[in-house]
Amino acid sequence: MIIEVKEVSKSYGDKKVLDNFSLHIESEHTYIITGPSGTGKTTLLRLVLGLEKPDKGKVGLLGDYKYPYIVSGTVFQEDRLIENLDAVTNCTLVSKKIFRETVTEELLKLLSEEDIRKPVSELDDGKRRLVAIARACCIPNDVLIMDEPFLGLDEKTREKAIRFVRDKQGSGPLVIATSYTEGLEFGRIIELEGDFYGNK
Amino acid sequence: MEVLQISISGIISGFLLGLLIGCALAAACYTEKFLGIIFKPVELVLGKFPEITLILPVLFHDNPEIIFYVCTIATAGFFYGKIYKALAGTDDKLLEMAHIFRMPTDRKIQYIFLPQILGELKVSALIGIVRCFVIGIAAGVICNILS
Repeated sequence: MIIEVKEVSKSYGDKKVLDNFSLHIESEHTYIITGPSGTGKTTLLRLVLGLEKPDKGKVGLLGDYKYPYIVSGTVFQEDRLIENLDAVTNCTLVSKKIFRETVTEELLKLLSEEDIRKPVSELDDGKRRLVAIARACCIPNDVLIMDEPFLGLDEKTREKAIRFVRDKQGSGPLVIATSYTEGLEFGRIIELEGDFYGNK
Repeated sequence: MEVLQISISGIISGFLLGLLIGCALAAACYTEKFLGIIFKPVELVLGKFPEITLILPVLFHDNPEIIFYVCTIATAGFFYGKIYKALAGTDDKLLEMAHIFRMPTDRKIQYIFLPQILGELKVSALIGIVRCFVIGIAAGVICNILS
């Protein structure tokens, strides 16, 4: 599977956040989209997910793919969890193809038994982030797309979360948008800086 | 006494049916936006001026079930407005998350929409019951005077 981002441009009012940007997102590859705030990282992910349309250019799937849309395990910039439900229920409610036992096993790699049983409203920001990461990784998906997934995590937890995500990536592509690339050198770093796009 | 029993049963059953109709209509109009546009004037009138239903007992005071119909219509209008507003106020970010994860519809209803509706019902149910009783009793009085 290849997700083609071809010469996309996107503006919000007078502010141009993406200008003629192109990228092929391929299976078994990792892409780290980085850059200062406001350079279009989230916008790019939203275009790939089909949540917005580019002003110019196109985003599409190349090759044979069984669905007309991308089946993505997604971590949004906000946690977007159901507050009064626990971590396990938050992960299982989004799909009928995953089961509590499997999700519990995966969550215990990131959180304690006590933490996964309480409503997510009682967890701190870092733990909520881990629940969002687990939710994205547990559902059957063809691509993992994550917007600032490690925000609010301390060094040790960040490393644990990165290992978890890499382990769950499988054969699909992994796209991470982040301002801080420490520990993500395994991926192809793509830097967005206004009009300049540099590949390291 | 019998008249009172018939009136009270008419009010209660009118309230229950009106509640069901109001909720169902709100869900339908939220799902199909063009229906919402069609029903907007009805919601504005009945939601703000439920007393307008009291024209019915004036015209149909001989109908023994008029109290039931009046309560049904007034309650349906009231709850349609409240429930539609609750649905329209659903967190867009949660809906986006549900869309991206292709969350099954029954789970969307159970975990995202139902809490919104139940939250609104907790707040407005008592007001709805009181309004229904007031209008039902007024309708009964009008029928008695005109009969």
